[in-house]
Amino acid sequence: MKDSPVANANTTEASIRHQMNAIFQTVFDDPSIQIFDAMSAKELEEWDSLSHITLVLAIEESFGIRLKTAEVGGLLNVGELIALVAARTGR
Amino acid sequence: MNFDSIGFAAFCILAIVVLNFARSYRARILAITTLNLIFLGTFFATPLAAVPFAVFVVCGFVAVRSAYCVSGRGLAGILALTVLAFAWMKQYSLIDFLPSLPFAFVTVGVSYLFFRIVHLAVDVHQQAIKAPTFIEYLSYTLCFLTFVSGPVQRYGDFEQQLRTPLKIQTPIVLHHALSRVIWGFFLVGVVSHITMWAFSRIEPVVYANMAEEIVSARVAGIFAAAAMAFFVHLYISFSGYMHIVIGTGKLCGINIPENFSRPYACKNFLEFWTRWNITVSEWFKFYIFNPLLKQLSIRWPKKNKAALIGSIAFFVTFMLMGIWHGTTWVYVVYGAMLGLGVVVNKKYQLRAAARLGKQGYKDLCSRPWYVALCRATTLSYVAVALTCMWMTPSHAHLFATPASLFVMVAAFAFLISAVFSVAYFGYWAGKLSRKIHVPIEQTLAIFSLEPWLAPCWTAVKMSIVFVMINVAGGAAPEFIYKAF
Repeated sequence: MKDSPVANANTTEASIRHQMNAIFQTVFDDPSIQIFDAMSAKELEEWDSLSHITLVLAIEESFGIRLKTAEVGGLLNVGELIALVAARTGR
Repeated sequence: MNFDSIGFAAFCILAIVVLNFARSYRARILAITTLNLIFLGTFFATPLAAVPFAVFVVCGFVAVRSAYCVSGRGLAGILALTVLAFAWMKQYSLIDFLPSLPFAFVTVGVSYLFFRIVHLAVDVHQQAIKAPTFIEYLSYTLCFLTFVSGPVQRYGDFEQQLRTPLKIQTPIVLHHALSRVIWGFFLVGVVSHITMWAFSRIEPVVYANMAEEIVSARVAGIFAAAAMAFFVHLYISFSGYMHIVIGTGKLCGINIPENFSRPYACKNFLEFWTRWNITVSEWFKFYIFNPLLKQLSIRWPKKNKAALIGSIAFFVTFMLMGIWHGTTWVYVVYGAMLGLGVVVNKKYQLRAAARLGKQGYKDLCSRPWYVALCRATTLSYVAVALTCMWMTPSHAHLFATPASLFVMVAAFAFLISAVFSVAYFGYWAGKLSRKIHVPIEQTLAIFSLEPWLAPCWTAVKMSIVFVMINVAGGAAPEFIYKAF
């Protein structure tokens, strides 16, 4: 029996989220980090303009994508980041 | 057309009526482009004076359209030519060997036009936005609301504003928008008169002291007063202008991004730039800092180089931001001061966190005295750095002597202690006022809940500001950011 599109979407988003969580833990050198959609630089103090670019490079390498200038600058929280990666990877 | 003139007020009324009647996207694009051209036309005394500006605008469009179909190197070439054309238009002293035109021409708004062209070219090249048509390009790049001194709205947001059908304005929305315009006129037409008057009284005394190379606490105090007076004047004038622009935009059905967020409440130098001239700071972050840091990080991926390349990216970005403000070597000094400030700030943050631990540094940052000290240091540093903007070219040499440098350092220390006292006192005063603020707000809420009172209150405020502007002496002081 085939999975429904909704179930597939949930699975792919969960896999991106899982991969993204591992990237955040590595970049910020903190294995206790648990990401959530509304998480932004306000919730994660180490997320500054320097670590943002380290994060972008790690995401690009991990997901095999290249983010655009406007996308790099315009990202505000984890939810937007996951949605962007999902759209760019076509998952 | 000066934005504090009767002509500008009449033009705004015309724009509000036209843009509220134009319902479709096409009609709004046509309406705003026509309004832009009328507004722009008031800056040119002769058709010849408009020719270089018109050529720059048309070349900008060619650059944006070409950016879509060129390679990465092609885009770099387009951007280099755009920078060169901008520097030539502004007559930067660095390229004064290039031939100039034998007639005077107008460059008002060119700095902000340059920001918009670069944003469009890069984003069109990366297919982040669709390439605009010529009329869309004119409606955005020459938008009368943001033409003179920003803010720098992103094209996607601007286009969305024109595509979304305008909602019928309610009395409360109208009241809020008009209140912002009135508040803006009050700041520009009344308060900036006072701040300019204060600054103009102190400025000659500073020059006289600098010329005699006097080093004393009194001289440092006078210099500190001049630096802070100019900083306050700049803030009042610039933020007042933004209130007028944003309020008028709302009346036209266009949301213009905020450009200030209580910069006097900053926690450090880095944070200051997320509160002051926000859209320009963001432009530099998007198109200079992020790409530069990304390229440097790819070239030197080792973790032990991260702090160094971060410092380089910060310094270059703020240096360019400083140079953008003016065409002479003084602005290179200004840029270097900004760059130095941001690098020292970042280094300090990293060292303090390493020394005290994450939690220890967090605790320190939450202490009122520490917040007040950081705020005082930041605002004092910005005030001293802004000297580059107010010193006249004929007096610039006076600030390069050892005695002057000593005075400036002493003034910086003097300002820190003065601003710290105000900020620390302000913290406790604020805490106290919050206790009495609630009953006052509840009382005022009775009036704000009555929609019919809103227009009456707006009319009263308009009348008061009109009388005050006339008492203050008519035309407001020249808007400083118009020169950039």
